[in-house]
Amino acid sequence: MSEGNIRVLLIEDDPAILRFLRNTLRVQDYDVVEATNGRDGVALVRQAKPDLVILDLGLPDMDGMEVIREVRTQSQVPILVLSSRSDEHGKVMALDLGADDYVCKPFGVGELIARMRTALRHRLASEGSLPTFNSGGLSVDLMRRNVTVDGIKVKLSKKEYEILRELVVHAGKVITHRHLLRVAWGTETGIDVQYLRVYIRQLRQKIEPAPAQPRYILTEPGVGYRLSVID
Amino acid sequence: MNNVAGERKLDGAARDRASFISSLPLHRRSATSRVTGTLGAVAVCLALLALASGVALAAERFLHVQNVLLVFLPVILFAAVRYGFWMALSCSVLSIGSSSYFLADPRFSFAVRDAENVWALLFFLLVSGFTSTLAAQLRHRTEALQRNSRVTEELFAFSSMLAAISETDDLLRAAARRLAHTLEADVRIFIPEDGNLTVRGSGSGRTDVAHDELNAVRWCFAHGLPSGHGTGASSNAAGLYLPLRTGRGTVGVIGLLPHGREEMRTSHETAPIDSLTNQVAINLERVQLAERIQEARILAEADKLRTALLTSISHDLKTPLASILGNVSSLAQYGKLYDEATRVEMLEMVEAETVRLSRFVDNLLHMTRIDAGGLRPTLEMLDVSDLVGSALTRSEKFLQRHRLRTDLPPDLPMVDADFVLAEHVLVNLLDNAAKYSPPESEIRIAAHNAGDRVVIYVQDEGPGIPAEHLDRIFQRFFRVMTADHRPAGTGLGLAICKGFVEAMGGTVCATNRTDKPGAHFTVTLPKSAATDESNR
Repeated sequence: MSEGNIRVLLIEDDPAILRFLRNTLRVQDYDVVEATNGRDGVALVRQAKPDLVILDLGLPDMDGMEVIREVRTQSQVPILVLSSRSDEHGKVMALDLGADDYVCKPFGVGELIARMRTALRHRLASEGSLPTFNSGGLSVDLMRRNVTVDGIKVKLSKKEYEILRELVVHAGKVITHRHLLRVAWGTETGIDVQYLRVYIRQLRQKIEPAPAQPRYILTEPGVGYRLSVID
Repeated sequence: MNNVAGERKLDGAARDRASFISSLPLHRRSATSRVTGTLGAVAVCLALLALASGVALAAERFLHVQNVLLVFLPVILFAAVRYGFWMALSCSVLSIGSSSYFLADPRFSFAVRDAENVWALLFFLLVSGFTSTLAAQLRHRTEALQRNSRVTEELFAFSSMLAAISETDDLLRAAARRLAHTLEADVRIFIPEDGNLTVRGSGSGRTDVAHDELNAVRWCFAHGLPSGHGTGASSNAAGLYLPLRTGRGTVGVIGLLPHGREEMRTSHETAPIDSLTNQVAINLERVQLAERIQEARILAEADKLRTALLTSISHDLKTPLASILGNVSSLAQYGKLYDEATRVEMLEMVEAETVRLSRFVDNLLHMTRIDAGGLRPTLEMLDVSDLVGSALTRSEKFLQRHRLRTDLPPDLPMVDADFVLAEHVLVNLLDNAAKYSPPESEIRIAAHNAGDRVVIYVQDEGPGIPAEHLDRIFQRFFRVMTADHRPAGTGLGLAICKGFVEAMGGTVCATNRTDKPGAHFTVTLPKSAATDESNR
């Protein structure tokens, strides 16, 4: 294991999943550090200085939310949460506490690696901002505030652009409703998710080739939206 | 029908409630009303006697009738029938006095001259005394009969009212209210619950019970005998407690408490109360037995369901597990013997079966949530095209072999629904369409505005649903066989659709297409009230 490898901390108590993750990640040339409970996990974030944390929310000794909170007091390391499919509330809470993204159990390895890459790339990208974002036919120039779809300029209202900009800045990552509300309206109280849905609908009608089957702005049911990155 | 007749009778009886009440132990008739009643009777009698005296005087003067004493007899009989024996006797004495003073010689003196007249007066007294006794007895009997018929009427009305009730709580509440009204007392009905006697019906709606009262209630329930005020047991209690007895023993206690500060009066005339409590006891037993039968039926039904569930689960879990285990163990042991293409194929099979298993477990969890009543939809304003788009993204894998067509008008109003649940419904319907229609056929998902609702429908080009199955298709574990006589799904998908849609205040139904063969599923969701404002 060379020094240049990306180091991933696995906080997971189930031995079978731990083994599967360890094997999969090692094959992909990641350095793997493991913890089977929350305490050790939080300690290892400090000692091993991982580049990414994969955290199972159901741990024997402490609540997964508490782990996120404690990790965030000392580090901005990307956190990828493993959650159960039907637990929308838990997903939103984890994201609001500072987790970067989630993968629902059971998951395929392709999905996991894609989410990991997004989280890692975002950390690198946020240090030096990227001036132009491209995904499929969608192109957003953040310097000039210019949006084009298949080369044709699209006119967006101020709020529409702010929402799209936030999605672009975090491209590939899920953004919660609350987060978008805060960005576009400057507040998260008093404004309903329903307004956001109206704006997303208008945005889709302007930038999506087929608004009923969106390619760019994807809905994460009960959680928020995600801008897909199409190479 | 019965009930209405009973209520009407009861209203009739209520008018006579005052006299009925007098036979009940709790009624207190005030002393002043008794005094005014007697004074009135005396006044009426005196007036009648004066009138009779006048008539007698006139008869003697103008008609020369010899024995005018008989003129007083009707007055005496009237007094006997109306006011009883003692009033009649007083009238007789007054009549004799009046006739000897005004009519017999010497006039204006009580002295009686002839022996003949003395005898006449004595006989008159005897006859009037005798007839008064008979008349008074007749009056008592009539009154008793009237009272009995009112009691019977009240009992009949009470029992018809109770007989129409089919739930314990309703029964106890209605009985307590009716009894409180009839007996002019606060009535509480105590029923044992987890070893404690708790108030389940209350005439006043209050359910608090003082310590002394509760002791009386407990004693009454334990011994099956009356307790409380005026009885031998727990007589320091303010209320009177009567057991509700049935063939199975004591099933509860009726408590009669005086209103406010008034003291409770008790008497030995408890017959109507006993009948009323009996009615409550009998009906309570009837309702409780009916409820027990219903419970047993539900249990049996649940048992049948559990058996079906187990059969279904063991099949649906074990089939993919068998495939996974078979492929994986084979690869582990003989992996080297297979060529690369076979290995890849086996692994793909494992992956597909695992996905299937995962979907099945999801469905089971959803069903459990519906059953446990744990479904709390968060209704919010949703964009139907967002919903459809999200459902299509999730359905991509199993829709690959079909042609997809979406028809969503751009001006579709928003709906009030729970995104996660509604998306799941659409995914299940799409999954169902994919399962029951041949590859390369078209699956159409469309929506339109319909009054206060938005209609979303999913159509396929499969064989459609046999007409006899249309109304059973949303029942859980009901599966229509596919063309190769193999059930395709788990029998849960559509049941979940129904559960979810109904939890959101929508409807779902299945029909067959009219334009060509194929199934047509329709979901309606309530249109969002806020649509017009926010869509500016």
